[in-house]
Amino acid sequence: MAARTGVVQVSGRGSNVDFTIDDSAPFNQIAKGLRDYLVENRGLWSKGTIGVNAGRWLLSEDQLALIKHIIETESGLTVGRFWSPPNRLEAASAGTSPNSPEAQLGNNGSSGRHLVHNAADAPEETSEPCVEFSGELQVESSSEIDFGPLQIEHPKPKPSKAGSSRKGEPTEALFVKTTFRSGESINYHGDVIVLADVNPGAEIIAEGDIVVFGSLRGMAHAGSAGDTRATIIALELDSPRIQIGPYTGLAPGQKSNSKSGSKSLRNGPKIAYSRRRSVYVSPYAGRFARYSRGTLYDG
Amino acid sequence: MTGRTIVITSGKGGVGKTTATANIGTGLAMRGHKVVVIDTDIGLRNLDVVMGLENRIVYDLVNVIEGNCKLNQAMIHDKSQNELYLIPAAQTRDKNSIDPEQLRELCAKLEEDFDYVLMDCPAGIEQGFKNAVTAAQEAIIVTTPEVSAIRDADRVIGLLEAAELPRPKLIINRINPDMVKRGDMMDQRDVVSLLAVDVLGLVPADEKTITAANKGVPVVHDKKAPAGAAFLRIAARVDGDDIPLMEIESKSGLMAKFKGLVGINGSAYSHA
Repeated sequence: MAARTGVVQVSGRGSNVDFTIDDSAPFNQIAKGLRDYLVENRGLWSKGTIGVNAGRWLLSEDQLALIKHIIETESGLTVGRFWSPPNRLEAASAGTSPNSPEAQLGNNGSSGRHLVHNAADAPEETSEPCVEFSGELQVESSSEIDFGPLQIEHPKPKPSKAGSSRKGEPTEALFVKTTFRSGESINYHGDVIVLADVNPGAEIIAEGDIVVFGSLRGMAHAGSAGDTRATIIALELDSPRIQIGPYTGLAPGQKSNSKSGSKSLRNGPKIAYSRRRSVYVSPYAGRFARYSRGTLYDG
Repeated sequence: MTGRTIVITSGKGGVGKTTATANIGTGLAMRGHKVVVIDTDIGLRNLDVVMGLENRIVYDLVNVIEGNCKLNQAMIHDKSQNELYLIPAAQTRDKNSIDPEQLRELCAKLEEDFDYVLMDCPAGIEQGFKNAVTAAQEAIIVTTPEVSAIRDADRVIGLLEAAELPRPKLIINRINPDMVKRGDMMDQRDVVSLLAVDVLGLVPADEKTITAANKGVPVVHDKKAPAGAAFLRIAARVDGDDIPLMEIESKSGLMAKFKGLVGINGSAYSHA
């Protein structure tokens, strides 16, 4: 809606700088607008590390990498992290959070066209340290998290916690409260908790565990960095394919042909885990139960 | 007057978007509203055929947007409804002939004069879809109780949510009650629980829908046809009437019964 004067608006408050990007513009326009803006105002930037608030944007890894690249090459600033205000994924209405310490890209993106819930954009906000399965979720006040995919370029601030939750240290978990629909995907470097359904055609890839309080009908990959102790827990598990660490499990026989596709799994919570290089699924019997006689997922 | 601009979309082709657009548009006009329906399926136009207005086309949507004709020159008056107009798609152009902003502008102009602006969206999620969705303020999803159509509807709902259109409403089209009863077709409850959106209406499979479209007289004119009655109820719900959903039954030729089952909030999970 904003006048076509520029896609990017920057406002400053003391040492804080806000980047606001027109969310009705398509991504390529935003990228161009951002570059133009930075070039035009080259003199304004000094050295330093900034955080970028991804706002309500649902961007793919590539897009985040591009934004980072544009900012760093055109301004000389270093993008330290991407983050979002809490609850972005939840309601997609949270604007930019005011307490950003540094510059923010407070935009609400061209979301329409870029629907990838990505590790990158997602993690920020909702990542609250999540303590094992005690159910305790605390929200950090500033809830700033490094974002996964680009981390290669920055040392992780804390040792990678992916899948390390087993020792009982707090781990970063991504908490998603909207349905994952066909074509949406997330790739996160910690645990992922979904308080909704994961529909066919959607995918979740997590370095840690995946917990779905709903029906898991899409593709899920827990322990994506190779952790074979990762698990997938869902109230209803009807995925055609699940992966634990390096092992892939295919749902046994004739599923998805049963006209309603979901009838078969109307029977309670399940846990998927790996044993002997295979993926098994058992009725869920608690976090510390011993799972031995599961159904082998071998197609 | 500020009208509502609604896009009718589905993702998958052949599920009944055009039929639904023609029937809902006609139904709203029958209720006394000023309605314009726009065919945004540029290059594959057929809303005009379903409405029986093919012979009257002189100018089309692209002509209007490119300024080659006046807006009212491209608006074709419906045969039976006084307050119903069609803006046809261009058949010899493609989806890239217009862009979302232009279409939005056009809709904004139409909203001043009409109660309802309905857009028939092309199948797919490419340019044509983006044009229509960007221009719309509300969305209606059409699906059939088939796995492939539902998968596509799910994808489209995700895209609409990202485009920040308010929660789309769902029409489940072409339900075959006998097949549902035999367990050979997905029950509407399964569809709704998977897609997690509000249901606007359930339309039974009905041969009259096809014969009516062939004749160019939308089935909604035939209140005795089960599909016609269903579309009339859908038009009423779009219009804000609170009509309970009817269970579609096979007995004595699709007798509809009040059961209020799926409830307008049929979804088990109403997050967001």
